[in-house]
Amino acid sequence: MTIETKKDNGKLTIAISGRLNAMSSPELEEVVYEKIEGMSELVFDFGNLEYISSSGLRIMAAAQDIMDKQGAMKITNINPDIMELLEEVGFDDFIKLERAEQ
Amino acid sequence: MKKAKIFSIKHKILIPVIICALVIIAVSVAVPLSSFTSMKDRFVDMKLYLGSMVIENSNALLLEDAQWVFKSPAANKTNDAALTLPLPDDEFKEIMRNVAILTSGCICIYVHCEKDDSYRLLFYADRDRTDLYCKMDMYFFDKNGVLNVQTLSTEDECIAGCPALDSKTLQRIISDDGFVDTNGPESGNVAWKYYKQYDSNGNLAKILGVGEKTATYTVYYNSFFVTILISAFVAAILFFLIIFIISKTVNRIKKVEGYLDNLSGEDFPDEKLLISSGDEIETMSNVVNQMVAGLKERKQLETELGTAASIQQGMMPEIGSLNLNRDVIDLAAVITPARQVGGDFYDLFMKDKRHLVIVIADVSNKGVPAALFMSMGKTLVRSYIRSEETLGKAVTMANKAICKENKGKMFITLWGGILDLATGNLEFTNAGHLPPLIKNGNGAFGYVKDRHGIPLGLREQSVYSQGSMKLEKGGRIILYTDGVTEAASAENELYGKKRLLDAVSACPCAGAEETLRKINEQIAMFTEGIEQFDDITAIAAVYHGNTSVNEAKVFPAVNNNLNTVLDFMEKLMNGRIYSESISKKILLITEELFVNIASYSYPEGNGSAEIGYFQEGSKVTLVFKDSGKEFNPFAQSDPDLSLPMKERKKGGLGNFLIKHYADETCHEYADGHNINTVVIKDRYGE
Repeated sequence: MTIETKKDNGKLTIAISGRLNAMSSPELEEVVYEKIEGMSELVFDFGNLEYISSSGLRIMAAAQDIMDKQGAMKITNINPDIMELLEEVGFDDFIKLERAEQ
Repeated sequence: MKKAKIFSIKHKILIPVIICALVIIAVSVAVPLSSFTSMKDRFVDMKLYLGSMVIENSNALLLEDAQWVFKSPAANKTNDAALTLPLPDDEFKEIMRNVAILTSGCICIYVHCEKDDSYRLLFYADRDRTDLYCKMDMYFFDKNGVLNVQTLSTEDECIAGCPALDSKTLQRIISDDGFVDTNGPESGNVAWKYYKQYDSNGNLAKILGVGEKTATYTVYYNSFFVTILISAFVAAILFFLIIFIISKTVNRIKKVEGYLDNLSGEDFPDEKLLISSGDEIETMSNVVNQMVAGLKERKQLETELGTAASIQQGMMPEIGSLNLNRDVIDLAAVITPARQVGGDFYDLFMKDKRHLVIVIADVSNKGVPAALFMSMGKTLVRSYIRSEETLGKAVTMANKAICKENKGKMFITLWGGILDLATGNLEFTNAGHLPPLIKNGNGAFGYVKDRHGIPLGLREQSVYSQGSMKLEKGGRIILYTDGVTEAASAENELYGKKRLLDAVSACPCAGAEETLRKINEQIAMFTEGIEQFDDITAIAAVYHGNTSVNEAKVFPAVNNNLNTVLDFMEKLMNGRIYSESISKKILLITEELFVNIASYSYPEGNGSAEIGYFQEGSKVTLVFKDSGKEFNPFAQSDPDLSLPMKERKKGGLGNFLIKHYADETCHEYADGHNINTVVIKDRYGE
């Protein structure tokens, strides 16, 4: 898994590629907690994400909790497989999800 | 061809030889000729001298009574009669003969006895036998014909041999004796010596005449020697000249040889072979240069063709890279171009995880044009099969595109199929290609002659349909090009479909690789001694459709090990799970269960988990076994997604996912073991 972050005027974009599983999620968690401070907008770019497990989902949920207090959050470029999973666990109820454009 | 020859090597050697031979001949003729007359005279002189030096009236043995007659044709013609005197006797004759063969320093004396008018030999000796004399006076005639005496200075001189007269003395004697050599003093070293021999009382006992003449010999010898010397000199020059020419020539030949030696490698030298000898070797080096230039060009072309061939070979997919499961499908392909690049091609690729595309085709021509056309055709066909829904439509589109690019009116016969690895369903389109051999279940091999259109590249408006059939487990399909059926034997007979059918029917259960090897062997045997005329391409596939697997492995149950566990799973799923989403779900379930074991069964982090993967058809059973604390992941309540993250119970999300994706779940705790079983079914899109 590789993580790319971009800060732009209170907007933090985190692009994740590869697999986000129990092995790699601590790294993402660290990045999120380190950079989320004072951000008014958080965007996760899932364009190159192949796979996400519950450990990754947990980070998304935790990030949403934080952003609920200080701004807005969304996940973009979600491929159909991951979209299906996110919907199945009901994340579409509380996180703004955007499909990848086909 | 450049004619560089000015002098051939033969001429280079022959001309000096001829010149030298002429010089030698000229010298050996001219040198003796220049002194020929005198030489002849001398020679005659000597004979005359030897035979005609006479002391007459030796009765008294007194000098006063003796009459000396010297005959020399040059000296006194009137005395010629003396030459013809009959020789006295056999003894004398013998002696004279011996004397005649002496080369120098000979002595011969005989007397004429007036009493009986006979000649008697008094003495003869050569220079080496002067020990006969004890004391000698030398007598000679002066100009007036008066005999003079000269006593030799010492006795020792006499004993040691003939007095060594220096040329001055000799000349004096000669000039005094009246028999001066007609050719002058230089060549006239003539000495006439006469010795008196005394008895014990000191009285004169004998008069000895001594004749010695070496001059003519010297002259003659010299002329001969000079000839020899000059000839030898000329011969030596000739010898070195020839050696020089030969060594030079040999060096040039070596240069050519060395140059040619370098050619035997892969590279050709940039520099030309430069020899300007003006002979055959220069001509040869020019030929070599032309030849090398030709070879270079050819080599360049060959290299390019070789590169083209390897590019073309590279366009044929590696079966290994398809990541097929051999229990599901056994696949082999072979292509042997007749020339370096060919017009046959095959293509094997996965349309998706589940569908294997098999294409075999043959371009109407051979060589480079066919190869170029082929690469275009192959690319088009692949891209349309990837993008179009059905095979027929893909081939129709590919044909249209090929027709647009086809100025040379080449065409491609093609057979394409899409095999559903999960079910064995085979969709296929035959565009004028040879019928494949198919064997299904327990049946026999047979040609499937369905055709769905004409070869590609002929008519833009052609529409291709498709057929379909189901390959039972164990079903086989063999595809080939006309290089197989039209391989010709030495008797000009074609291999043909019948032989091919017989060959594959002979070993109906062979694996794909073995089947192709058998076909190749049969063709090789059939065409023995004949050059391969056409590309030979064949594909064999055996559909086993067997996805069964029973694998289990023990892993240390720590989170760090997760990737190893996931790798283990992926390897087992490869070629068995055809749905991307199912394989992701299996990975997800594996991860969640493994993390559960690591976190809950072994809170101390010191246990291990046995993970089993069992597949039968499309049904996958995952079994996770650990000997930690009892924990039933499936009994956990679903997370309340409405609660904020912090208030939710950890782990609920993963377990929720497991339950959500699994078709069946089962937890068991027995003998201190947690056994969690999850069943997932790949429904093949049903």
